[in-house]
Amino acid sequence: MKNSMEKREGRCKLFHFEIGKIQDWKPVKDLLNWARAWSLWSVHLCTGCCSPELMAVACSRFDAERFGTLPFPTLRECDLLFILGVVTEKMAKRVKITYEQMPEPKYVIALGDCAISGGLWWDSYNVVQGVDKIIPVDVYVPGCPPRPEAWIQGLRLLQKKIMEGR
Amino acid sequence: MLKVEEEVVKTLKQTFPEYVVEAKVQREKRVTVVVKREGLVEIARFLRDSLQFDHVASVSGVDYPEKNELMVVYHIWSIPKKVLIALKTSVPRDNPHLSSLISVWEGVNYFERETWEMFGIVFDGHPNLSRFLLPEDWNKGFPFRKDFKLRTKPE
Repeated sequence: MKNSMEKREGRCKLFHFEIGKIQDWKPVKDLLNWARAWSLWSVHLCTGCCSPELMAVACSRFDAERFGTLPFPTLRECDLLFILGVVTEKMAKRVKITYEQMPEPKYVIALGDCAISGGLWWDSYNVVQGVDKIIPVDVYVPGCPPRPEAWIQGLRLLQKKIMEGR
Repeated sequence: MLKVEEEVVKTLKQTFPEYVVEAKVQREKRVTVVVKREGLVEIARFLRDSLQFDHVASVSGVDYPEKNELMVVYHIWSIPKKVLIALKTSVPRDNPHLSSLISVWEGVNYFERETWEMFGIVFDGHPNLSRFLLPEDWNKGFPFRKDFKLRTKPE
């Protein structure tokens, strides 16, 4: 019995080892990155007033789902985190918790001037001066609020970044 | 014109001559009353019971460092009379204690909490005077006071 368990564990280890090796193999890696780039399910963390833009982007006119970005309610199944607007000191802790709950690999887009650098509230006592002080950010989309076109450009940039394997 | 407003002012002046410092009609539907802090709860109860002031619109603070005092402003609507009263009272900056009006209007709960957090005015008798909008571990003082230092240049 014990012998068979050991054998099984060994096989599992070998399997994982093989998978790891295959993932590093360039064609497979490219394929995985391609798949990731076109199915970025997103959490939208509506901390501020860039969040109404989400409705414009996700609805039929601009339709971000063409690029595989589906706003999704469960953050444990998502790969992309949108920071929509100003992040206060109190919210900073919650942003971090949200980010840590997401599975790897995960990407972050900071939307709007406030999320990038504090924006209008550069001298405030209670606003985080840029969300990149708390979590790593992949793409910054400026604007107050950013137009849906800018948003989609940000998405395309992120897709390019993923497909290039960066 | 201004019949209801003038009646409110007159009644308050007659009933509490020792507490009312100043009472006047500002314009249509707006009345301002400055009272001493000892008589605040009594006047508030009178406003609710006899003059039908029933809805607290806001509680705010004003900082006067040169006079060394903090002013608390209660804006209270009377829905039957359609009059908004500004009930003002001052507390010294060194000892900012004021009795809470939670026994008169339940609606002041969150407003007083916020005023405490931003100006440091302690409302005695308030059931839950804890951090509301600021982070839970905030220790940099009271941000709406005039001696609070903000950033002078972007980071």
